[in-house]
Amino acid sequence: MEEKITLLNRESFGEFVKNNDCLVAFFKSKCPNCKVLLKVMEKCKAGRPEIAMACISSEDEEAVARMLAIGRVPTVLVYKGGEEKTRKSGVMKPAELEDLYLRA
Amino acid sequence: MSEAYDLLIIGAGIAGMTAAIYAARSNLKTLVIEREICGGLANQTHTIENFPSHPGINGMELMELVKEQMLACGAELREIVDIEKFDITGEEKSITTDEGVFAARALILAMGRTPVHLPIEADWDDHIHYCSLCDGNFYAGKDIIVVGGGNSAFDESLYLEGLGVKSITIVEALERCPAAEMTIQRTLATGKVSIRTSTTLTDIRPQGSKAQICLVNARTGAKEVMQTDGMFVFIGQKPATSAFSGILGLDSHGYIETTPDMGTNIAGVYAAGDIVAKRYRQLTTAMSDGTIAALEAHRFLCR
Repeated sequence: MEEKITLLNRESFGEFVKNNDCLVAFFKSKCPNCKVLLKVMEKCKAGRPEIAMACISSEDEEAVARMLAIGRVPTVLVYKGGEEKTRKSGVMKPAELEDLYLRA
Repeated sequence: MSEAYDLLIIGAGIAGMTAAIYAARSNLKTLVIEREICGGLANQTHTIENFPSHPGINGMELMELVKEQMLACGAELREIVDIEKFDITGEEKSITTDEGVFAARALILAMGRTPVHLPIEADWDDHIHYCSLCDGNFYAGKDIIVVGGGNSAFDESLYLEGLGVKSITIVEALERCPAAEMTIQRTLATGKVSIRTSTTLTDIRPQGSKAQICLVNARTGAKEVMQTDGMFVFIGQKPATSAFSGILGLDSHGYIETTPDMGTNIAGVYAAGDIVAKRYRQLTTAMSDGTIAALEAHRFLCR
C-alpha cells in the first residue's frame, strides 16, 4: 500500500510546486504528529496516485519554512497553478487530506 | 467477507505491541490495528528515563524498536485505519474498518488514551500546542505558558528549556504539582521556570501573535494577567472507550473494568494498558497488562 512521497529540498521545492498541482507537508524528524501525517499521505496517495504529494523538512530547510511562515508542524500546503491555495496544520485523516486538496 | 485471525489487537501502543509479541510467539495469527501509528502516547515523550535497560531514550525511538520486534515475531500490522464498527459480543469478534472487516475469536483492546484539550475557546489555535517535540523549536527566545503540573508538563518544560525558550510559566490547578519532586527540582534549577499552583487559566485574549493570559488563584482569588507567545497544554488524557458504553463494564471515568487477568465482562475480550481502570499508568504496567492479556487470550483460544 505504501506510496512514495517526494522529499523536497530548497533547490527542488520551487520547481515542484510550479510544475505540479500538489500537496506539500512540512515536517520535523522527531515530531510524532508529522510521522502520522506522512503515513496518512502515503495512504491517501495509494488511493489517489494522480495527486502529486511531497514533503520538506522544516529543520533541514529552515529558510524555506521561514519564507513561508511555517509556525508549526506538520503543516500541509496545497499548490495549484504554482500558487499556494490553502494550508492546514495538524494531523488529518486520509479523506480530510484529499478533501483539503480537492476543495482548494 | 472478513479476514480471519486468531487474535485481533486494537491499538499499537506499548500494551498492544507487547501483547502482539507474546501472541505471535504463541503462534497465534495476530493482527494489530492502529488508527494512527505505532507507539501511542510514548511517541510524544522526548526522553523516557524510567524504562528498565534504557536510562534515557527517546519515546519514538523506543517504540520503533518495539515495533520492529513485534513485526519480526510475525504479528501483522495495519496503521492509519479508521474503525467503523465493533461487533464483539458474539463468539466471533469482528471489526469493520476502512480497510475491510477483520474477525477473530479473541480480542485485546489497547487503544490507550488521548490528550485532554484546553476547555477554553480562543481564536489563537496556532499558538496552543499539545506536542513540544512538534512545535517547541518555534519558541526559542520566547515566553511560554505550560498548562498542567504533572510529570508530562515538567518533562516537556525541560525539553522546551533545552530548545532555548526564554521563560516558562507552569500553571497548575491543584495546590501542589503532582509531578515527581526530582523532576520539579531539576526543572526549577534551570532558572527559567516559574510555577503558579492553585491557579486556573480563565481566559486567552489574542493580541496578534501574542496573547494576554488571565489567571486566577483559587486560594486567594488574586487575578493575574500575563503576556505570552505560546502555550503548551498537558492536562491529562481520557480513555478512548465511547464506542463500548453499555457493552463493556466501564468505570465512571470511562476506563474498562477488568479482572486481574485482564478479562472483561465479555468472554474472549481483554483490555490492556492505559485504557484499563487502575491506579498506575506507566509503560511498564502497560507491558504487564499486554503480556497477561495475550497469555490469557492464548489460554482462551486453546480451550
